[in-house]
Amino acid sequence: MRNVNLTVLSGEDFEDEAGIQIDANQLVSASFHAFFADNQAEGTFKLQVSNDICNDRYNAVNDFTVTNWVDLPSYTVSVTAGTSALITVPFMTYRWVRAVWLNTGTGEQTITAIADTGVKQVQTVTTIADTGALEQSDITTVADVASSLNDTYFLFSSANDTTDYYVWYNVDGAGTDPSLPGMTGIEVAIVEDDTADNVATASRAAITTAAGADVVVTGATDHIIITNILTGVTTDTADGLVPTGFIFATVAQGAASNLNSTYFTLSSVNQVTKAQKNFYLWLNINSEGVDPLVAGRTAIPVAAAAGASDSTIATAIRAALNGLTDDFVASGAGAAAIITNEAFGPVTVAVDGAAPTGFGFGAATLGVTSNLNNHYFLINRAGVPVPSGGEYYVWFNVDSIGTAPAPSGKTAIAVAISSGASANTIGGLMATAIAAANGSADFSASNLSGVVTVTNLQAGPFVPASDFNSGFTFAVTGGGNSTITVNMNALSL
Amino acid sequence: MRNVNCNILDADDSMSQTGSKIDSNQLVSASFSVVFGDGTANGTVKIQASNDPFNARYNAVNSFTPTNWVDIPSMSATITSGSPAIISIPNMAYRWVRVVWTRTSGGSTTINVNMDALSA
Repeated sequence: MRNVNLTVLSGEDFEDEAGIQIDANQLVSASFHAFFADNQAEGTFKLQVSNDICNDRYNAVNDFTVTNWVDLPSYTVSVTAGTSALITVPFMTYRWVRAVWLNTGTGEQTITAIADTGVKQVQTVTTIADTGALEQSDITTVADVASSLNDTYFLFSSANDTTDYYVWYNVDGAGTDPSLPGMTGIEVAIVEDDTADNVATASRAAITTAAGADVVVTGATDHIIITNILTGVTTDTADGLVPTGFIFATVAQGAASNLNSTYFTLSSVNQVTKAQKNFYLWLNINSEGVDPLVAGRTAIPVAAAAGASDSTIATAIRAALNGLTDDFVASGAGAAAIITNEAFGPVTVAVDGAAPTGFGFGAATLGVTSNLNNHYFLINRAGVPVPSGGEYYVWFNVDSIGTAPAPSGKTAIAVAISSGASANTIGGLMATAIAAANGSADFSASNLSGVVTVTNLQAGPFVPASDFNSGFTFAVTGGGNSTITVNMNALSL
Repeated sequence: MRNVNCNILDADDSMSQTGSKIDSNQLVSASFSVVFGDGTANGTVKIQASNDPFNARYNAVNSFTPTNWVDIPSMSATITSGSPAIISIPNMAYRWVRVVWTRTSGGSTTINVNMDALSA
């Protein structure tokens, strides 16, 4: 007895392989040990035999080619995960034998995505109404009767009583300026027996000329409507000590603005550098505001009318923030301005300024940096070494503010995702992007709950996908990727 | 025909052990008896085989190291409380074999495996 010990099959485990034909003449029993150079091989390892006649007298054994093979019943082993297999044949009553490997692997690998951690900071600011008001008076004149209005006067003031005026009447040039101390006089020239309408018309013109910087004068017929240009508490219009006899009605009491020149601070994230950008939003009421010029911050002026409602103020704030398209998106209704940063990442929450608005600042949903933006992994077209142009990197462009990392010698597969996207969403987008590579000639891909199965469309072994910094996990699941070896040891006579 | 009778593993049974390779050239059949020095060992004894090719013309048997081992199906014994076991291989159609002790618990002395083989 002696041993016959040799390798009878050496091939690729990702393809079907048949070993050499073994001349089983003189062999009594034998075992066949199959093993793999990877732990993904899938398929069937079996023995085939043949009793094709080889007449040694006429045929050289080495030149004889077996043509009729049959599976040896019960000598088949299913292989998964590249496990070794052993087949022992106790009675080798066959003329020829060979080892056969049938690959059932599909060249698949799985890529398990993780969710994006990016969160855009969100905070709701609740506005309040402006308290500012413009003083307004409605004066009803009377007709002159035999110079009854001569030397009479009435009083009005600009906002906050900054300037006090008296309006006096000079009938036919016979009047005398009362010259009230500390006040500015406005002469209204009329003629004797002027009608009330004429008196009012002349008054409107005179006041507009003299005090047009402080008030707006309107009205018709016998009315003089005086409206202050600025907000603020103002002494009501009234008749003088030498009275005109006009009727004075205060239509609107002047009041100071509570919001003018106030501000709050807020911040966004620079889409490129991801650094925090600082702003202050200040309110310019009735165009009376003064920019507070907060150091180190960019101004966002918001204009509103005196006495604007909280809803109007909020609408103006939303519009101003939405104009900063790289920084904020503002939504909401009524008094609410829901401020969402355009870019993910943490920033300082919005708070009231040193000149406070008095607005309400809700608890912020704090921003979180994306774990996937600009990160990538590598995947390769089938072929070892990887064919030219077949090395890809799959990178993630979060919220469209990513920058392709462009590793040398690799072709980009960009996957656009939104911050905070789930693993399943990312898997779906990733599968689509990978499948589209190279005109859809290299891979097919499908997603199931964030696990993307990628199947090579090109034949042959492949360099499995691997991570660079995505945090994804990778596994070759669809069959072998290297070699199978079958060694036989036989007892021979 | 002749008998080859030798000890192929003498080791601490309180840890898993792998015996040395056995050149099974010329061996037709073999049995492996397993004995423990105490009654506490629990685990599995099994026989592994390798057909890694060895060319006696160019390699010295003693210096050759098989690298690809596989369990021989059905050639294992479960050990409970240091009970002895025997494993018989009727058809020794392997180029190399070895014994493997996989401890799961217990063991405080030794495991001994003796082989008796029928050789051509």
